[in-house]
Amino acid sequence: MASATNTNLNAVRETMDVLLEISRLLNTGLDMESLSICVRLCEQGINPEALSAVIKELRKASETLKVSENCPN
Amino acid sequence: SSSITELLSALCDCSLSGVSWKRRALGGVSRDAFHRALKKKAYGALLSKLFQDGTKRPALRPSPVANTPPRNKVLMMCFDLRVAGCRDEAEALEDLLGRLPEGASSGLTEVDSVLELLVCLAGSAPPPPTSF
Repeated sequence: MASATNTNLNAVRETMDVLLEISRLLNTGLDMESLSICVRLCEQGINPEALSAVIKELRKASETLKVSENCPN
Repeated sequence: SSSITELLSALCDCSLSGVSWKRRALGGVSRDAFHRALKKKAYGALLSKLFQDGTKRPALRPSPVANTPPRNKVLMMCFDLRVAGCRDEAEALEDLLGRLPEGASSGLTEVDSVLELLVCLAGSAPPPPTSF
C-alpha cells in the first residue's frame, strides 16, 4: 500500500517537473506554486481556457497595482 | 484536496507576491481589500467564460484548432519555433513532450487539460531578459 502511494507520488513529481519545464519554454509566467494550484483546479474540472482567462485577469490587476506603487503621487 | 474557492484564493495570493503592503496600507489600500477585489475579478473571468461557452451559436463553425488535442498543439508550436529559427527550443519542447506521461502513469487525472492551459498561456509572460 505504502509502496503504491510512493510510486504515485514519484509519478506526480516527475510529471510536474516536465510540466514546469514545458511551462518555462512556452513562457507562460507560471512558477511551481501557481502551476501546482492550476493543476489542482484542472483536476477539479475547471475549464483550462477559462482558467487561463482568470490568470491573465489576475496578472493585469496585480500589474496595475505594482505600476501605481512605482509612481508616487 | 482543497476546494475550488480555496484554490482560487491561493491563486490570488500568488499574484500578489512582490507587492509592498506596508506602503500600500499608508495609502489606504489594504491587502485584504485588494485580495477581495482580485477574487471578484477571478470569479468574473471564470463565470463570463462559462456563460460564453453556454451561449455558443450553433451556426458558427468551430475553429479546426479548437478540437486539436493539446499535444498536437504543442507540436505545432515546435514547428513554428523551427520556422522562426529557434531549433534548440523546438527540440527541447519535443523532448519534454515525449517525456510527459499519458493517462494514469502521469499520476494526474487531467494532464491534457493542464497542457491545454499551458498552450493558452504560451507567450503571455514578458520574455526573459537577454544577456549580452
